[in-house]
Amino acid sequence: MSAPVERTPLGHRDPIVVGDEARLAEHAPAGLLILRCEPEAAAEPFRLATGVDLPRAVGTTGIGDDLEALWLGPDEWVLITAAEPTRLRERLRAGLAEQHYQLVDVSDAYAGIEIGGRHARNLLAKLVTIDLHPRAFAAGTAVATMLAKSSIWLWLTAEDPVFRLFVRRSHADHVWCLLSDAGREWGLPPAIPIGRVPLQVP
Amino acid sequence: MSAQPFRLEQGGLIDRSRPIRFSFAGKAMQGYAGDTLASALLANGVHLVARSFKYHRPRGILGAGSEDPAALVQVGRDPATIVPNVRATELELWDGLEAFAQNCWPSLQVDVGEINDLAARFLPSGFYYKTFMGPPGSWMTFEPTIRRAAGLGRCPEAPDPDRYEHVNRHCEVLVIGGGPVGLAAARTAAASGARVVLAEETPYLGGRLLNEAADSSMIEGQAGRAWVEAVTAELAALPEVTVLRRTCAFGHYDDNWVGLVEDVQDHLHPEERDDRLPRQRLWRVRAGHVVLATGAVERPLVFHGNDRPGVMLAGAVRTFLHRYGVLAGRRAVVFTNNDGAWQTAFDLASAGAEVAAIVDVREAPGAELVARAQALQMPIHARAGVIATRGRRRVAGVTVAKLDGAGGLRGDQAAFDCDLLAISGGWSPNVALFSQAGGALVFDDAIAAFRPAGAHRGMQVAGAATGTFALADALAEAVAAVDTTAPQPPATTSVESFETYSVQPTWELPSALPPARTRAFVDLQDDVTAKDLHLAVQEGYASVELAKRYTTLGMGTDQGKTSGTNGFAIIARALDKPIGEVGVTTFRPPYKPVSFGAVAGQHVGELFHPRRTTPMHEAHVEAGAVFELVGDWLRPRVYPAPGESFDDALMRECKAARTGVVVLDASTLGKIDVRGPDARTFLNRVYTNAWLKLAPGRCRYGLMLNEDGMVFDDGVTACLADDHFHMTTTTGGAAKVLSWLEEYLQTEWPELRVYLTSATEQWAVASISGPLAPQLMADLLDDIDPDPDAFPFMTHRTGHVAGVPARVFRISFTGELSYEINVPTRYGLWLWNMLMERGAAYGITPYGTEGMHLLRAEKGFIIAGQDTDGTVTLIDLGMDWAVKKSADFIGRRSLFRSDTARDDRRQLVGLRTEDPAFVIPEGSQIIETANEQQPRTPMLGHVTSSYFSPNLDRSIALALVEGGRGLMGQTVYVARAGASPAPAVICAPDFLAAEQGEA
Repeated sequence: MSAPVERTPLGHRDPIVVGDEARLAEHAPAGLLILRCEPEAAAEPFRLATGVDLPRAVGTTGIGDDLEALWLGPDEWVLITAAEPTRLRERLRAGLAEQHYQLVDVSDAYAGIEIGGRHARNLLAKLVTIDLHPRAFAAGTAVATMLAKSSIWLWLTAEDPVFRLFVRRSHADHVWCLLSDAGREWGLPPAIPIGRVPLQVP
Repeated sequence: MSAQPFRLEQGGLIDRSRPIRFSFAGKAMQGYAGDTLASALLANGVHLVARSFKYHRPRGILGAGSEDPAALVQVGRDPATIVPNVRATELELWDGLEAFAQNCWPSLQVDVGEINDLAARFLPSGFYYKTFMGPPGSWMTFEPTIRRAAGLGRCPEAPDPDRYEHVNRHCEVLVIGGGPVGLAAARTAAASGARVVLAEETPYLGGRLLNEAADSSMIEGQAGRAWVEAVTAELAALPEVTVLRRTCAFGHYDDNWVGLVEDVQDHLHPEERDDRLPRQRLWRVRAGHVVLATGAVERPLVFHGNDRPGVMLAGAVRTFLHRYGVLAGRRAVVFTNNDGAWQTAFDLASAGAEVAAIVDVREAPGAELVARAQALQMPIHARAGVIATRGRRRVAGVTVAKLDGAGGLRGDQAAFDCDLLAISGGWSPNVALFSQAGGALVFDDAIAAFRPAGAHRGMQVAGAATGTFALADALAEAVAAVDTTAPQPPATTSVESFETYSVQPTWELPSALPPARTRAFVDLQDDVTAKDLHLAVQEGYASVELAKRYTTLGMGTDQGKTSGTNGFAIIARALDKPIGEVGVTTFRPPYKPVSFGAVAGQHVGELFHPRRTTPMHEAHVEAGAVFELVGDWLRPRVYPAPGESFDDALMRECKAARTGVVVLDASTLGKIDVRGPDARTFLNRVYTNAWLKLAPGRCRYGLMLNEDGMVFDDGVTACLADDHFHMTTTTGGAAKVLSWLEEYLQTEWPELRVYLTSATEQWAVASISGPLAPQLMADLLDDIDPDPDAFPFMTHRTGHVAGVPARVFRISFTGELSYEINVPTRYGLWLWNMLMERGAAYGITPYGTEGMHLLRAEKGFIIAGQDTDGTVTLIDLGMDWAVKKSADFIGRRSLFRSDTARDDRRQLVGLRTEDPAFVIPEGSQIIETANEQQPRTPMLGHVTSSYFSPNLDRSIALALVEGGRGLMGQTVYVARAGASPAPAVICAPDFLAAEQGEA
């Protein structure tokens, strides 16, 4: 039997770098977990288990050693880790055992894309309606929003700027092509979506 | 190539060192860089540029910008990029530009359509409507002719090769209009560090300062144009200021969402266009504050013959002179009711033209103006009007008469030769966007025009746009509009000269001709005359909104920029009401035409909509699959082998499912992780069947109903632990089911402690089916015994496939022995390839959605959304067994309403056609009798699914039939187009069971 082969959602797309103008690359963290819980009761056990304060307001993030928590809703967070998430999951299960909570591994359900370069904000502004100006969207801000017709989480990790964008795996190639198209102005190449196949309509 | 006889030696913003060749209506001409088509045509002495919409009358250049109503041309000749209805006054020249006259045949000079003009008396206002009301059939008679004649210009006929894009922009202040007022407002706003967007419709900042002699205005110690340059440079240096030229604010929407459309490249020679840039950008601006500095639009005067080429707005004449160095005529008559146009006379004289007369309707025009005109020896005719013009395709002279002040004429008439008639009926504040935003307008007698009643929800209006014409006052308003913290007088701004403005309302000049022969135009694009408006009022169209539609006033591509106020005033006078009381018609976006390309932006073609792909997509493509869209998912429909037809492939796949082993990519199935102490209670409320006792390790099929009792979605849910479930939904229903369940949890049952999270894309799913499936599974599974006795139907196991963690479900949609292998999505492609590799020994056959549909129909399984349509209950489907008696669930109450409990509702049955080869078209109606009856055959139901079954070797169909379950074995008929109804026998939906029973 052939040995198992892992494929990242955008493994078929090479990173694109156009000087310091704009760059686009897949950035797939090892672990993504959705946490749902009642923050009043669970914030403290969560902090004890992870060392991270659960963010409590829209746009905010909690950053720890190899764990970032992005606020998605009053009782919903995505936890991002560069390490394999099993240990984190076990730690949380132990820490939250007394809580009503849900922890779902979605590491495979999302694609991560990193968007950098000095035109990153302008590039994203062609597709995202929210205000990305540094005054409104500083490093450390993360939101759930729409990119064209796809739901995304958008997180500014560094003021350089470096954006990390998470999108459902099945939308990843479409979003990649939209981003690449939005960067045409700064030299990004046009990309043909893998979904461009002929249809036979019933 | 002609020599631009009307071009001045100097002046203007054009570059005389860069001649530009262009052609209009087939004639080669020359202009200069910086010209518009209109200015270049005028420089060449060409005034006739178009034909009007209805009467095909010669049309010239009335205005100098976006307000111009009728100088519309066709640009280009390539069927993909040809653009109709381009305003000559806005079209910037590039070398080689080809523009054509439109709405004329055989040529602009000789147009057969002119016959309409002679027939004008037979084409009164409301002509279309009258044909509806006329003798029977009159609309039918006229319609083909009207349709042929209707429309201006030619549309492109090939796909648009250009790119467009949307850009989202947030700012504290959006300034619309880049004249002195807009510049001052932008500068003041930017001083605080605010983000400012300034949108200017033309290529130039400076507005009216560019339409006057260079030394006319002094601002902050600088001549007007120098001040503009200084402020422009100041703004350019500020990082938070964006200045957009060639950018029109076309629409204002809720909460200061303003649409701007920017022409990025149209003004460039095709070879200079940058293929990395779009043709146009649509800016979606969300502004904290909007400052309207949109200026004012000059109105024409309404008199007999006012539509002749060579009749131009006085302000436009000045614009052509000062911006483009073009003299619109050599012998001019100026006709006005206000002070502004006198400046045109003075400027024309300075540029070397002769002013044959200044005609002013006022008794006593300003003494200072009169003195200046007298000093220049210009003949002045006060309390007089132009009542007619001469000339066919260009004005050649005018008739001037004294006015009696009561709407009539007095005394002698005088005729003057001229080649230019500069007219001004006063200036109307450009309130379109203000009004779109819902701002209230008032009619201001002092300026004889509508203006904003005040500021409006986050929107300030400054300068001429609110009727403040004097430059110093306008600039003061500009500063006050944005400096809300400490409104300061513009101490740093001084204006050393500008005009005063007074106007005498003049809506319609008397005519020496009988009314039937007077042609005084109000709307030059749509050919609406003052007489048409009077007729509309006479016929009872007392509201401006109705009169507008009846006459088509202001309904052209110019949206009545020059005709609106005149039209409303004429209607008001005909109604004998104050103009303010009659009001204006509603201003709606777009302010001017916006291309469909800009509206669509980059979201076209393959980027129009996401096509979701599964992790196994690449393998399907390589296997030559034919795809279909299910929801947004791309799913393989069948996998035809090279040279194999769609139907043959389908038959092969479906036979293999019942004789060998087949595999389906089922990754798209919706999956929801359900967890919490109340998870069981929750499932028990959302599904119709019982869930309280499902043990961990077991699966159960469930149906969800809407509140109305109709089937909403279905799927199998597995119990992972007492408080933890893995729910599946249909592919297309996944998102709506999740949000619907979440809504119930948040709004109806907040007491239930349950969390939901989508896990659809976490798992790649291969569904393996067929009699050989257990053998293949035995080869694959590391630590799960696939033997159906050890691993029974409707259970699941957790284990590994080649070391990869997997959840395996023993569930089936085909009726065959089936296993659903779920692995983390990253292994999806590997899983598929591995299945194909390992399955080769068993002749594994991949199958698609078409085969899935057929196989489940053989088994009589429904597809929610295909066999149900939102009017079908589960009782109708014969699934009463799934209705629990023990507890309530969503839709239960509706399920037992008298109507839903009727036993003659349409019920799901099978249909076996008498001719086994005849496959009924899906959607066919089912009737009772062998022949259709008159007047209308009672319809018993319709066919929801229909296939040729290779395993039963006959056609099968599922149908919803009234009281169907009571009709087993009876023959019904399927109505057919163009053939007699086909007989079919009603049977149970499970064809496979029936076959096996017979065998």
